[in-house]
Amino acid sequence: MVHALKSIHRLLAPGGLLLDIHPTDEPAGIYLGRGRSEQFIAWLEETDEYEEYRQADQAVAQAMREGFYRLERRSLFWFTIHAASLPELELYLQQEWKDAIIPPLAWQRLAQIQGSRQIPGEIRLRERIQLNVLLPHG
Amino acid sequence: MIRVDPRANETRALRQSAGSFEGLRVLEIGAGDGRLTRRFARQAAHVVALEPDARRYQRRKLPSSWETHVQFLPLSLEDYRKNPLFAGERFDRVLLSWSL
Repeated sequence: MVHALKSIHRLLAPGGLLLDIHPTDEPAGIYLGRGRSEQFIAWLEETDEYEEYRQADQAVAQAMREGFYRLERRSLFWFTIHAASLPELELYLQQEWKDAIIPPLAWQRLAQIQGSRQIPGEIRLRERIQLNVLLPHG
Repeated sequence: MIRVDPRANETRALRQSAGSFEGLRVLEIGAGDGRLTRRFARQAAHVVALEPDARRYQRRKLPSSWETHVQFLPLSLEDYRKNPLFAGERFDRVLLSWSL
């Protein structure tokens, strides 16, 4: 990861910026959403427990310590994926996020919330994402 | 139907943090199927979008009218750097798109 950051440094024109978008290591939350309101269902699990995102943070910090970049700005935003149902979300994650696991608890909680009624709503996966704006040094 | 970032929070965060991409040369690393590329490529002067995953590369979707200024390549960053065709290329913005 640090190697990639150093490679990128050589690709930046004078005055250029590196924009690094990657998730924080906060677990993503699964919600039942209806309009503006959301009800928490469960945390999404990852096979490596979000370790890769901590490693990405460490790589950025190391590249800065070694003098390749200065952090110009860090911002956070919510990134959401909306699905009509939990099975649809699961299928999407199998294709796009292979490490992700919808825990059994999520299915149980959703069944409890909905009970015997089919409450309209959608499933939302909400992730906290960071955007680092890095200014190259040297 | 799956909707990804329907409120465009990612695009808004990019614009607020890094300003406009108007007239800039942009390298996007980990472009996937072009989801984020589509949000900024119209403004940019030239875009090189790298996606080494063959499955995602095959699913890329960009307007054909953009082919003059958007180069979507099935390459990793390392393969791009080593390729003599691209020696000396420099960019105003390099976007590490969920790929660090």
